[in-house]
Amino acid sequence: MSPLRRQSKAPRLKSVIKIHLLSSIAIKNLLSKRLRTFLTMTGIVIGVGAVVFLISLAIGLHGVVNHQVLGSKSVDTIDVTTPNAENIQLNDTNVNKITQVANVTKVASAYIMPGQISFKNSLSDTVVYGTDNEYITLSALKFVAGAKGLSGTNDAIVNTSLLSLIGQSSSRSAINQKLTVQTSITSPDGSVTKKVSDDLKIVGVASTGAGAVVYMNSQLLRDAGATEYGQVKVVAAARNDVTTIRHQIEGLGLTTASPLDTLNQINTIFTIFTFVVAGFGGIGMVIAILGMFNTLTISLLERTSEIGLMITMGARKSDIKRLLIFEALILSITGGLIGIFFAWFLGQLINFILTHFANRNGVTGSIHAFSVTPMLVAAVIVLTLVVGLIVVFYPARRAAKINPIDALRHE
Amino acid sequence: MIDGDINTEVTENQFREYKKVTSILIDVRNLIKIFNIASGPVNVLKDVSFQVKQGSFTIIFGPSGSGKSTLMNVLSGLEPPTTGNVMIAGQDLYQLNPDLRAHFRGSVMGIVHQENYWIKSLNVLENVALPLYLSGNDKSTALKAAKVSLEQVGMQEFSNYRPTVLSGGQQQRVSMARALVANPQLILTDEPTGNLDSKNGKMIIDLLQKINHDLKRTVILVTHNIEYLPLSDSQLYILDGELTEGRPGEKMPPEILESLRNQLSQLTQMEKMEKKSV
Repeated sequence: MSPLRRQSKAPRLKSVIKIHLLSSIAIKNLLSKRLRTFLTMTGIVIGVGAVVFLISLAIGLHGVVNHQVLGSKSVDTIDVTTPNAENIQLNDTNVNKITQVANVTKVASAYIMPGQISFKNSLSDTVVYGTDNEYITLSALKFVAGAKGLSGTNDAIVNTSLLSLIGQSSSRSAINQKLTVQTSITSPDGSVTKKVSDDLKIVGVASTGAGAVVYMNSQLLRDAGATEYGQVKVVAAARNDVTTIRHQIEGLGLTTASPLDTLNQINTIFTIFTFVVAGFGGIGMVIAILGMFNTLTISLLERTSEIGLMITMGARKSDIKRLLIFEALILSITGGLIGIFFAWFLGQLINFILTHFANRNGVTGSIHAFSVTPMLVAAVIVLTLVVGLIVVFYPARRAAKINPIDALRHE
Repeated sequence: MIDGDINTEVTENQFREYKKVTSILIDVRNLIKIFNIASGPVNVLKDVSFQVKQGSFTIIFGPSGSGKSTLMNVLSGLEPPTTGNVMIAGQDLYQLNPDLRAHFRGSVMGIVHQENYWIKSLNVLENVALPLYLSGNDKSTALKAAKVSLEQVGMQEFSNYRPTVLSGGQQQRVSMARALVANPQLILTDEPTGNLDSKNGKMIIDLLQKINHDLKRTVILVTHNIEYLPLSDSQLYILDGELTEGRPGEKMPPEILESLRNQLSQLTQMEKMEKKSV
């Protein structure tokens, strides 16, 4: 044994135990019971993973549905129609009034009327849109061939349904083909005032809904005497302005519709869906919480004498509390992060497989049925933090109340 | 003072100033401790008063159940007395709140228990460094001091062992290193040899004497082992909660002797009965 000697200088004492030393002791405590820590953390990984996986499914499906329903339509756009053409006309006078409404940035109108297409020797029914490029742009048409707008007076854009009707299988070969559009200008009471027939050249093909549609220059119909628009598209400066603008337009006796209506309905449905799936995932989370609570309580019981020892060596109640809080947070946050990673990985794998099969079946683009957003990750990290703190509340409070003399007798 | 504002410098400076003016380290006045248990109140310490000099080796001696451990717990700030005062290094121990008392204990006292208590997830070196961690020192300072402390008890080669794999004697030496690491003025030991064989027991007592002589630390040894009495320079005899001060060379108080005889006689009878039953 070395001879005893007086230490030259006492270590300088500071106020309280350093955080990194406390967390290092917490990690060593957890690692000293590896199997228990692993099993508890696995429970948290499964619980958090299930919540993230299911909510990411809800978010992903929400996105897919929004994309399918709204396409590239702007939610700032309002469609204006008249509920009764005889009494309230959607004419230039009303369009001018709409233009004057505050926060309206664009107004585009279209004459919409039934008509017939004469192509080579065939005659087919169609809907005729007499409009301009602004309206076409706001309609967010999905073009599959040719130009994306009308440049000449006799240009026409048709949809793929119309091409099928007139026996044109290829969109590309339809470009520059001639067709004749026949329609009738009617008065507000429905009586025909003039028949119109125009020879047009197909300049673009769009993929829109099921019915046959042709877009032609509005000037032709205006020159023929058309005064009543079938629809007006109004663009608001911001999404928040949509409701106010709609109220003002409806004040003119007109009817409005907005993609926001659909969006709100979809949002409501998916909010409910998200809560339902989160509830299912939450069952796993509750089991994980119980497992964690059990682990911390048993760990506290096992280490009662250690806590007594720490108090006799100068630990304050808050040091003991913080040690247990660190252990709980290390368990919950590490488990949470691993759970998030697994859920993300599994979601990405399923997205990849779905996209692969969809592409094989002719669907273009990728499918995002699972979507882990930064907001979801942040929310789950906060949730795991809160869960960790709630779970440790009782054991930490109990630990801080331990009488060191009783604790040292406890083994 | 609130928890976050503990100023340990005050404790050290306080002690230095205190040393200049007095040689008394511990001043206990009219200490009474009553435990309220199911069968009624039990008076474990009965108006106990005594002083312990700076740098002394004091033995608190008494038979089992006499109140030694309770007195030790009161002295270490772990068991508030029912009435009375405990002044250590000029500080009234029980005027401090529990957190400050814990901190005061950590910086002024080193405690060695009969049982060996460890943080099982830490190795020997980290266990010894723990009191310094708790008083806010950084890791390197604490580990450096812990190494020095382990050298002082001859256990440096076991630094990386888990304490629980060591023998009882080795563990008690590591406990001693842990008690010394914060450079405390007072070493309180409660039956440190109680669980050891005579060889290891002697080694621990030798170590305590060296701590007292070489490091000039005040040592209080709580024991019921009569063999250690000649090693001390001051004795406190305790029987049924009543304390009597003794001096080296003086005879043991007759009532303590009588109590020891009774215990010895009881032990002899029990031994005979056991032999008969076998």
